[in-house]
Amino acid sequence: MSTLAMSTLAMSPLATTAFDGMLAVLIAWTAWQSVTSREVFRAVMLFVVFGLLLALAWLRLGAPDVALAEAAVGAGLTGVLFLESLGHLRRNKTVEPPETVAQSRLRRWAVGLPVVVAGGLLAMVALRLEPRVPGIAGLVVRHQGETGVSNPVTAVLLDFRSTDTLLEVVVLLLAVIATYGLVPHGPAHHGPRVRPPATPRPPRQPVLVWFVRRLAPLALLVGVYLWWVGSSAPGGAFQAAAVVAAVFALLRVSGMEAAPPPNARPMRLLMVAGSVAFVSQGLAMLAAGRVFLDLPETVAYGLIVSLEGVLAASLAACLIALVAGAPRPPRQSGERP
Amino acid sequence: MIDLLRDGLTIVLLLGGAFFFAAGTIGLLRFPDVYSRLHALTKADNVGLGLTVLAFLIQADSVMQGLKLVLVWALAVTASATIANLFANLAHRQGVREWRKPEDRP
Amino acid sequence: MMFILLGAVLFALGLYGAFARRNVVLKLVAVNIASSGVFLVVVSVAPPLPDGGTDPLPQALVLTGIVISVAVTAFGLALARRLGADEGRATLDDEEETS
Repeated sequence: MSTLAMSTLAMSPLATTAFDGMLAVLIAWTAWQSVTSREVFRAVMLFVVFGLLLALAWLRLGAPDVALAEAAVGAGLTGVLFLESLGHLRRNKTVEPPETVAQSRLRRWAVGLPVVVAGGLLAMVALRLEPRVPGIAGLVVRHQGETGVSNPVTAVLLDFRSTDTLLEVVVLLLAVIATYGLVPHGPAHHGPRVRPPATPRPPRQPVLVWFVRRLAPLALLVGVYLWWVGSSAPGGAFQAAAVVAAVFALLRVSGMEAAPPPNARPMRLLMVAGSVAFVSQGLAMLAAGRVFLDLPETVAYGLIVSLEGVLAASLAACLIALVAGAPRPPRQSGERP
Repeated sequence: MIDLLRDGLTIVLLLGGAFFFAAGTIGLLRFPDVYSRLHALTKADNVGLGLTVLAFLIQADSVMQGLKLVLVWALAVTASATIANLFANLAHRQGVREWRKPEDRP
Repeated sequence: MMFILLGAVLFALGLYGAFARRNVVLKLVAVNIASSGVFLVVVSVAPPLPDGGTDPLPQALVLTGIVISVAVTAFGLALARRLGADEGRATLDDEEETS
């Protein structure tokens, strides 16, 4: 796309401002509709649209790495997570409980006013910050050569701030463990039993099956590609993991159960692998007399790419486990199946 | 000269695409039942996207770029066909009747 | 500029939803919207690079933030599911009118 007329068309500041303004209004509107919706299903659908529009905003902000993550996660995985849990709620629990006019008015004012103040303060402070202080960006650009990767975001994530990334991987793992820990088990469980999936499984849709059969391998390929390309272009371990997990979610909603089950032993090992690989890389550096998580310049590229590979697989396993939810509690022997 | 022609063609194709997208959106908003809305959405959007992709295709710098554009188009078309099928199927199973003119109603 | 304002608006909207809504799933949707607002502010506050690019540091921070909010959301939903299984309700009210 390099010809003259096209570039003048694209560069026109008025056109871009108008586009940004429209995008911002649309995003704010979907958020408003989602937040004030009384039906959970409607709110979730609007949230998915919100995520897609937000991905466009990230592109406009020159952050394609974030845009990829937002599209795959904000719009895809989080939406699936919400929908999954909706299926577990009882029918009448998926709308906001009714309340009197006085109650709702009180709520609107008591919450609305402080919130408007908080938002206003955030905007004020953020706009005040604008005077350009020389940021850390210069440092990143100057030292990027030492990391062996040409995507600065990947350089920050896997080298300069790798502690953050290590902790991020650990947080995701902890979320899976905590989710598994919430499974009610055994006779200690009292209270009204709710049959989880009350709706019968819909019949398999041949067209959907046809489509998913062709899409899934392609999407998996995209996931691998995102990992591989992450060192030099937008992409990376997390985006790759999100795409792979989305493929799993797609297989799940179209009724094609994926093997092995998300909580099988190999999958559990894979979930831990990311944290283990990261920590052992750090410890290896310590043993070699360097700093924890340091990446020596000569091997930085290879280490980053392989570490990202392990991370991608491990994060994908964690996300898949989160989408699939905790395994069913084991049946007590006394209980009728 | 060639560049100018190409840019002109791109603009015409983009405008055509925008027209079909607009028509599809109006259909989605104005048609009376789920089936005709799906019809408006999928038909118009597929042509709209097709024209848009075509507009960019003649601007592509390399064969790879062009192939990626075609892939995007193919994925979007099959996905939208699949989703339309799912929607229509669900509506049909839930017993949603198709809209008829008032004088044709039984 | 525009996206800083949008971020603040989203933050306020999300905060409103998190406090004003009673259904826990709706609360979680709202929290996600609020955090998207914060992410927007974090990236758009950074001054552009000399070559016009976007500062990679806040981008990396936001990427990490997105992963953390997925983890938090998933855990919150697991809690909501457990709440539904144990008490048959979907709100955090002290007592819920039987319906």
